[in-house]
Amino acid sequence: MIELYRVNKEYSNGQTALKDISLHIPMGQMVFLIGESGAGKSTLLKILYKAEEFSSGRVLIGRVDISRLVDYSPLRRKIGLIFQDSSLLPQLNVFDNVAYILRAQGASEREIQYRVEGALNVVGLLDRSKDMTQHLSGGERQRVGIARAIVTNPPILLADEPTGNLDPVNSLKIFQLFREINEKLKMTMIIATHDPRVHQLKKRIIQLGNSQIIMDTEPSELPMFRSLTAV
Amino acid sequence: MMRLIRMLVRVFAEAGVGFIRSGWLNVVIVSILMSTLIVFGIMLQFSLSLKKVANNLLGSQSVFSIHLNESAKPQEVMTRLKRYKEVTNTRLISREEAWQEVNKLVQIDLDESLNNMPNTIVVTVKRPLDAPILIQKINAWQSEIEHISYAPNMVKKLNVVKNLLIILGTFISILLAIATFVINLNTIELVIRARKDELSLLRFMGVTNWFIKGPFVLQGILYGLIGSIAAGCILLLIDGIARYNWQKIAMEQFGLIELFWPSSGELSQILLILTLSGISFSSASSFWATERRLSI
Repeated sequence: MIELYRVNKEYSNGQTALKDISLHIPMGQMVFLIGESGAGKSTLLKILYKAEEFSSGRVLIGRVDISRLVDYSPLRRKIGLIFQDSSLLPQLNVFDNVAYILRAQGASEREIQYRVEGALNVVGLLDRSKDMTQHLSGGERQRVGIARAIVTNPPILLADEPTGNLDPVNSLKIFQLFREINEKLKMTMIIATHDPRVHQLKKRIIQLGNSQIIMDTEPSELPMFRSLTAV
Repeated sequence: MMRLIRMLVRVFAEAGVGFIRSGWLNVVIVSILMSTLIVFGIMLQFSLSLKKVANNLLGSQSVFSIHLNESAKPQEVMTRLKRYKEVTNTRLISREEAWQEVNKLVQIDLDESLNNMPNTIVVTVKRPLDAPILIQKINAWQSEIEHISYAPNMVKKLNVVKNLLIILGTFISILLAIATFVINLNTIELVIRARKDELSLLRFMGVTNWFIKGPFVLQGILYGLIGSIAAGCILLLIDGIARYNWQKIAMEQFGLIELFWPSSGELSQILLILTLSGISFSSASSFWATERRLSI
């Protein structure tokens, strides 16, 4: 469970990034964070994985007050991260990119093999495991990024504009993949995007504007849209 | 436990990858570190040699030599010396004997008419403390004495030379050490900057502090190890060549080589000091670079 109580973020130049944000995201929920550029979506995600500090308020992840943490590594190991540019290591192939975090955690080669193949299977890239990442398309690279994020089976998945560099067709495929992962693996997911079609996924949507929450809609409140595949 | 061992192995592997990626910068760092250690090693070797000479001379403080004037009668001077209770032994080296020694040294038979060597009396006293007092008394016999050779004067001069060498060597070593430190620091920082995105990604993935920083510190240790081994090899080579030539020139005839040349045990100590300083020095600069550039 992720809880935010009256969280504010102000930069040293006086600019406000987040204003009085309060949120409650239960375990296993998939949430889309939408809003224009500069609305505070990325800042909110960065606060959750401790890439940025908040100015005031309280943030709890699984009942742990993250402002009190001295060593962030245990928290970060519970969070899978997906970035807009996929941020893969260019000198490693698909398999080794996904396996990197497991190796850093001292997993055995047998465990690595099992987990990486499982993650690549989920994203549909098992047959490309030996390829270098430069030889993949944008959508495939993002899938590798997703496989890397889920390979440790973290309870939380945060994605910052994961489809920002993709064409509409690939974007939809990635969103579908997120939904499948959420349903299969029951991970809590927060996906920051400014793609308006996320309404069609019938998931919770939180809209930020002027550094504040301007809309928080539960799936049941969403109007029925056409099937996603028909878009 | 197995997990920890596997992590350690991977930290070492990452260090190796980092070393390979640094390319020619490795050669620059190792060369400068090696030069620093060679200067440091030579300085150590010299000061050790001079210390040995000084100690040997100090050990002969109970002995001094009186060089007599041409008009002085050696036997008379010896008899007068023997009257002092501090004197345990006197030995005359006549000007002819001294001339023979010179001929033997230069390996040429020089004409006796060229002999300007003085008669010399070598005096041994009971205690080293007696020597300066007795010399003061003997100095009063101005008409018979040309000069008195006493080791402590030489020791003082040697100590001055030794201290100058230490100061000079320390100064050069410090300069080179600062250069090595700065270059090593900058190289590691360059590597960190070049891999900034990758490293920030790793820390956001929850990779532990030491898994990220460890390889850089290990890379520094590797520089220190290679630099000190190279410096040690060059020092051994210099030592070998110098020892060979030294013996070849002349000193072996007097058996003086062991008097001031560092023994193999002392040389091993110098090499150990070099290795430890090289490793600690370069790993410290790498550690500092990670502390400055890698906020986890």
